[in-house]
Formats: sequence, C-alpha cells, structure tokens
Amino acid sequence: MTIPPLTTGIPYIESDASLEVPPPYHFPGVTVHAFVWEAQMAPIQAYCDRFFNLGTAQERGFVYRAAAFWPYAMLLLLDYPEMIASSRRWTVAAHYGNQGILRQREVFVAVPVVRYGLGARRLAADTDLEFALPVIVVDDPNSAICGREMLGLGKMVAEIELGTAEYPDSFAGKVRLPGWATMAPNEVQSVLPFLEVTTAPALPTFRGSADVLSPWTLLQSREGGWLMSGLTSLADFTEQVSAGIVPTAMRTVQLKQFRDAAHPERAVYQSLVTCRSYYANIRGFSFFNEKDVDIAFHDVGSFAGILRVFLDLPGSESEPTGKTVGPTPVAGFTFTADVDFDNMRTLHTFPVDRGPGVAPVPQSSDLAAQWLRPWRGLFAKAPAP
Amino acid sequence: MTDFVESFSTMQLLPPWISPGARTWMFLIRLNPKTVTDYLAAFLNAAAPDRAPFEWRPIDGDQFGIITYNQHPRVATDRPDRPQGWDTVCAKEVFFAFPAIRRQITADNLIVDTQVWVQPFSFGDTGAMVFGSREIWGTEMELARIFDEDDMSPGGMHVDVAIQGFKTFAPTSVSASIACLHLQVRPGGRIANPIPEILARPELHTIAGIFLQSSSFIGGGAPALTPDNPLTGTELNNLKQFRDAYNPEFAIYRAIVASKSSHQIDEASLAFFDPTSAEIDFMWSASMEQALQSQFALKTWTVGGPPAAHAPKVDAHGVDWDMKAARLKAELVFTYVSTVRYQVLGTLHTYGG
Repeated sequence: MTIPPLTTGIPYIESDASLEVPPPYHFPGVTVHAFVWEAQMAPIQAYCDRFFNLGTAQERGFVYRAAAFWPYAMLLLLDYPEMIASSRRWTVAAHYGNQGILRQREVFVAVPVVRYGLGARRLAADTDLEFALPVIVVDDPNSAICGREMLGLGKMVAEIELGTAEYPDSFAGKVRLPGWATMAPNEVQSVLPFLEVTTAPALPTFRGSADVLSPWTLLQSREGGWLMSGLTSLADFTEQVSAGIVPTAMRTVQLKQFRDAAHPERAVYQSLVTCRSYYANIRGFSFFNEKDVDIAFHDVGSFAGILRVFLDLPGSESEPTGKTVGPTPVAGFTFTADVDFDNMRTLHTFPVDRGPGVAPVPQSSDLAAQWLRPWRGLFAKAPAP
Repeated sequence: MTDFVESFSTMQLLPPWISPGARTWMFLIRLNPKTVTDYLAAFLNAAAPDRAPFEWRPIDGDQFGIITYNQHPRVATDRPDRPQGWDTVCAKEVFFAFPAIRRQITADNLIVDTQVWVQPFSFGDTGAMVFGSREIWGTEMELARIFDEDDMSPGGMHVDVAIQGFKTFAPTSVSASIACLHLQVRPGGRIANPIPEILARPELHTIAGIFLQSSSFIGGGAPALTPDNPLTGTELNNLKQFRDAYNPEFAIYRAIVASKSSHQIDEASLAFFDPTSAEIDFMWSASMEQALQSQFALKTWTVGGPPAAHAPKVDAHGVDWDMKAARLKAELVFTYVSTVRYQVLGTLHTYGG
C-alpha cells in the first residue's frame, strides 16, 4: 500500500491491489466522431435542477441553466489508442508515470449548460459555460472506477464497437450496456443494445444522399462558437482546424456524490466537480452528410429516463416506447486530436448532513470563471489560512 | 440527513441484498502474521488524522485467510421501499479475506472484543455489484472477468479471473486482459468426513470455530437465520474512502463501515475436498505483484508458467496466460449452496468527522 507522506487533510490509502490510475492524462491520437442535434431545453433544465442546483439559490450563490442560445446535444464516440498518466506531482508520477499505456473507447452525450453567478459581482466573476454529460460509458473498468470515484463522472462500463460501416471512410459505432429491459421485478440485468450509429462516407463523397446540406451553416453561426470551445467562436475554431496547430477545450461539470452505507438513500458527500479536455493538434477533420447519419438509441426499461434528457420522445420514463429512437442530426464530423485531460477541481461542495454524531460537511466554493482565474489574484482577498 | 440524488449511473446493488441459491467455494490458506498486522495497521488502525475508537488485532494463534468464490444466480436488493426483486443481477465475485478481532474499550473501561473479517481485495464481474461494493459499503472490489465451468457440481470446480492490467511495468507496456487467478478443484477429491483431519490439527481449531459460528444450516436443527440475529453471520469491516478531485493523495471521505453477510446453508450441498486436489494460482503480473507480496508474503513467483489447464498464450476469451504464477497451498477446501443475506450494520467511524 502507498501511504501518503502528507500530514494535513485526510490521507487516501491506495491498496496494492488497486488498478486505478488517477488523472491528469495525456491522450495522443484520439479519433473523435461527433454528432449534433437539436435538444429540448425543458428536460435539460430539469437535469440541471436535479443534479446541479441542489439546495436553495441563496445558499449556493449560483444557478445552472440550459444554454438556450445553443439548444443542441452532442454525441461523441472516441477511440483512445494511448492513455498516459501525465501528473508532474512526484508522488503520483513515481507510482503511475512509467507503468505503461492504457487504451479505451468512450461514448458520451454532452449538453451545454451555463453557470450564472447570482448578484452583480458573481454574475461577472462566476458565470461560465460548461458541459453536462448525462450519459458516459467506457470499455475500460479502471477508467470507469477512477472517473466515478474521483471526478464524479457517471461512467458505466459498456461494450463499445467503433469501426467502419458499409463503405470505406464511413463510420459505425455500437454500444451495449448492462440494463433491465422491462424494469419488472425479478428481471435479471443483462447486456442490452443501447446505441447504434452509422454514417455514409465522409464528405466529399459520391455515396449517400445527393442533396448535401452545408454543415458549415451550423458551424458558422454565433452560437456554434459556444459549442466548440466555450470562449472562441467557431469561425476561429475552423481556422484553427485548418491550421492544425491551435487547440480548443471542453470543460465538464458533474455531481460527485456518495451514499451513506447504512442509509443508501442518503448522501455523505455531494459536490460539483469540473475537469477539462484540451484538444490540440487537430487533424483529419471532415464532415459527414448529416442526412446520412443514423443514430438509434434503444428506448427500453432502465434506459428510458436518461434518453428523455436529450431526446424529444413520446412516452415516459415509466412507459417507454420500447423501440429504437433517434434524433435528426444537424451535423456530423470526425477528427483526430491529441487530448490532455486535466484541471480537475471541485467547484462547489454542498452542505451535507451526515447524520447524528458526525459533523456535517460544510459548504465551500471555488467558482471563478475560467477567464477570470489568471487575474483573480489581483483582485480577490487572500484565502484564509 | 441529506438525500442522495438518484441517477442513471447510480443503479448500484443497494444493501440489504439477498442472494438465494448462491454457490460458494472456500479455500483456506495460511497467512504470515506480519502481513495481517501490517494490513490492519495501515488500513484500519492508522490515524487519518484522527483514529477510530477501536483497535483491530490478529486473531489468537496461527493466521489464516480465505480465497472465496461466490456465484450469485439472482442477487437483488431486499428493501421495504423497493419492489421485491428490483434490480436483480447475476453476479460472480472472488475475494480474499482474513479474520481479525475488533477491540473496543468502553466508557466504563471494559474491553469488548468482536470477531470480524477484513477483505483486502476482491473482484466482481458485474458493474452494479462492483459499484455498490466500492461506493456504498466500501469493499475494494475491482471489475474483472470471471469464467467458470458450466458444471459447478461438488465433483470439482474451475474458475479463472482476468483483469485489465499490465504484465510488466514499462513506459511502452500496453494494458491488456491478463490472467489474475486460477482456482481449480480436481474431481475425485471429495472427503466424506473432514472432522478427524481438523481435530488432528490444533492450529485449525480457532478458524474452524469461526466458520461454525458464522453460518446456520437448513435441516441441521439450527434455529432459522434472520438478518437481525446477532449470533450468526460474518461481520465485515471495510475502509470506505474516495479521492479528492484535485489531489489524489487526499480523501474527501474516509470511514470504516461494518456490514454482515449471513449464509443459510443447504446442508445437503456442503462438501469438503482434499486440499491437495486444489490449485490456487495467482498469476505474477506487474499489476498484481505488490498485492501478492504484501498480502501473502511472497518474494517472487513460485511456478515457472501458468497452471496446467492453461497454455502460456492468449486464450479463447482473449486472456493472456503467458506469465509465471504463485501457487498458494490450500489447508481446507469446501463448497456449499446457501441463501446469502447482506446488510450494512453501520458506519463505525468517519474520519475528520
């Protein structure tokens, strides 16, 4: 076991049998397939209220809202040929830095959300664009465990196939996930089909639909800029892509929470955690004709609730359609990039009553927006020792 | 207390849970007393920064541990606020555990000793159970692939565990599906009556007594087992901890959780085996090396290749067996079918709280 030498705080004891490798990571040569569709704002706002806006607005000092200026959801399917632990902290680097390379496939749906600080000062200082990930699945179990326990990412372990569809330069992806098809009592969990994606070959191509819509229409809009980099416009982004040397970034936000052991319907810890995926050296960027993109989610049993966060579906969580359902994509594209996964930090710790005889978890915040962080030291009070 | 926010990704197996018809295979192994003491010191007795108001000590006499394989055909949450059979999963688990004594000095200066079990590592093949184990009751369970023979009759058994890990550590090593553990009991080794063998070995008396205390038998004339019966069942003490998002050396939560598993055993299913008919082979990979050294006091591998049942290559499941192995000697081997009930007793101590 590794016993940390630090003397402040509560040390984490890593067991010798642990297989997890904590972030940050460097991922060279990640292949990304991304698909965008229009999403309804009300379910995304309900998701924000359920998972991010805990307690009262006055207590929190912020509110998360669906990004109405960019009403889109994005499905990303990623193939990581190399995952390298990249911490420069000596204790972590010594343990993980030279152990080797992991590989994984990952699929997630991202919806943009905006954190607004409440009050004039906080509105300016704490407002930021982030992405919520209602669904994220990986095929590496250690990635799932580390993502869940350290970052609060709701990673589930899935069978993921990424490859080529019928024609060269096309794309096909499949996700199978443990679930319950009917949610009936005594139904045994099984691995069920969750998602299938297919495309025609990337543009330009003579295959597929003849009337190609211009994907640039979406990407040249003002709102497109919010999607792709948060702070840079997409016009800039595409220029960056063509130049192939300038990075972009995606920050996520997720509720990290853990159950009480004896009362699992209660929590012992709840916080909002953010982390950054920083895309550099983007190359091989090409679009798919969105009319030839087919995205099919399986609206059954235990999948029904989450699908309704980012898909406009008939039926309900308790009465799903039982069919394959899919959005109408407005864009689809692929590229390869080097990705750095870093800047993990706790944005806000919610006050948690842990029960009799145990001190409650106090509220704390570190909400300064990304743009302000380099300047914050000039204006902010020094933190209490 | 604050409500937990249920989500798509938190459909864990919630305690208490019940597993009827669970098949258990148990392999008793001898442990080095220092490994037991070291583990208790680091995981349960350490200051972090405060100390739990208990002391965990090795049991009297020789130290033993168990390698256990559990096959749960239908394990489901058993809570009054959920429909019966809700979230049923089929799961397999393999774990290493050893008994210890939890000592408490009461306010009136009395010493109260409780016999408990400690589980340094375990493997499960089902996300719902693995995430529940880790995130609710604090068992350090790794998600693994567990393969068993179709015929799990008492005539013999063969179970393999594969993990996603590294055969060797090097900057260019690539993580892969590698063999971790091979358990086998060759058919024909069944013993009709193990009692004379146990009685002839005084060092086994304490551990045998612990086993007898922890179970009840259908058809054996014993009183029916209920979850609230404090006289039966096995108490497990786990360190439940989660890393900080920024600094992985720190925990944002660390506590010691007590839970209890109770086995109501079908007496007809209980069978003992000649320990020499058993194979317990841990594959000597870089990912497992440290754990094998610290838990079993092994300096290096003891067998120059995989067990005879496996060729030194990637098998049909895509599992790489081309490694040396460390073979542990079984002292007792037995199997039974039982109804398992698992419940959390409570959080014994919350650090920093």
